[in-house]
Amino acid sequence: MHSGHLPTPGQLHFTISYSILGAIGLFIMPSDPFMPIALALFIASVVFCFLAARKLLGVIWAMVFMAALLVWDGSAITFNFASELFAIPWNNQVLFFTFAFYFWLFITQIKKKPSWKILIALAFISGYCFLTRQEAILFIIPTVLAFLLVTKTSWKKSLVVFSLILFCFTLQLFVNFLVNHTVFSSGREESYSKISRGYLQPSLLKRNIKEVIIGSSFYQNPDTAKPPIAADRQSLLQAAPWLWLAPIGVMLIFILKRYPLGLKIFTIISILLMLFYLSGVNMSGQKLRYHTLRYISSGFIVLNLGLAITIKEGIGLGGVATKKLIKSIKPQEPDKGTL
Amino acid sequence: MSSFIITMGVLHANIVLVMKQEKLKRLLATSFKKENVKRWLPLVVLLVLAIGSFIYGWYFDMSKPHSGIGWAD
Repeated sequence: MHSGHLPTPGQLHFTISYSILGAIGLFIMPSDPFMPIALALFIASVVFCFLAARKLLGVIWAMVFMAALLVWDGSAITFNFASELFAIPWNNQVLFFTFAFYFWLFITQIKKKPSWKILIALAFISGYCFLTRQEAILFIIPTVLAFLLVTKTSWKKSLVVFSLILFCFTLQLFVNFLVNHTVFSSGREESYSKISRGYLQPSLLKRNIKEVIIGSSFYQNPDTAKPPIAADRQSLLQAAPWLWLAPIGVMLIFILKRYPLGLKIFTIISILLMLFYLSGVNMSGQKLRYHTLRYISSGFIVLNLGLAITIKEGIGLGGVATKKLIKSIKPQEPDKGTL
Repeated sequence: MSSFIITMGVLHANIVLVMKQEKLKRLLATSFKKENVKRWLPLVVLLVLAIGSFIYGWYFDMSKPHSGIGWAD
């Protein structure tokens, strides 16, 4: 693409947008084109997540949240830290960046009428994410629709936003037409309908929660004729046991009124994203060695936020209980009137 | 091609710097006020940590799979 050549039909297995980013990166760093792109997406994600968390929880808890989410040891082994995603050129980075943007959007921009700048940024980021990972449209449409409805954006502006999202995808359709001579081909060996049948399977969801989230030791080789293949990698909760606390915080987001509606919507969409991938064929205990956790790394924002909220509310509750205890132990002043 | 883009970028930055000199001076004067430093220092610290770990992960982590578009699924 950098030299003006179209991809081959085989290369269209991947959508064109991540390759476009690589082509842009070639101008900046020809020896390692994806490095500046990954760094830019990473920095933008850090800024969006921090600004949103600071508004929601204050500086100290925002730092706790960010440390749990993004600061890792530099070894991309398990992918339990979302930032490991950015150490390797994956197109999942674009989805993570989009969710970091949505997090910021739903925390900071939900109480006012969105400006044209915000709406156009929302449309192009969502459209580019759709262009990068086509299944992301399942989460992009409800998220954008929820934002437009909650902020009571006029239908004309909403129409412009959705048109721009679809416009972004016409680029892929155009390249599809030039390469495959049809706009309907996915470029993959399997059709869209066959790929979609590999998702939303309850049996896979149950298996993946056990193998990928709880413990990779649950993995069993389905081919019994061969000796079991070790998963080789830890599951999410084995690598990051502190995330066992996350469900409490996630529940508190829904229970406590002080957490805004935007956060509740963002949490629902993040949970749906994780359930979608966990109920699909792309994830399994064995695939942990191929960093399968990267598919749900966008959901790590909510999980780590849940962790920070659990600790924050826990300490708050502990403080109140201690104050009450001290008050009850403190000797009462004798009533002078009765003496 | 890339050197041309960099040259044009530097030239453009110089023009902007000259044109907005007064505005930049005012911006610099207000940026280092105590409350601004207090507000943005955590983000700066976070970015330094994050970029440091990113650079280490990208260039020095030998345990990760090889880089390349083949891994970009």
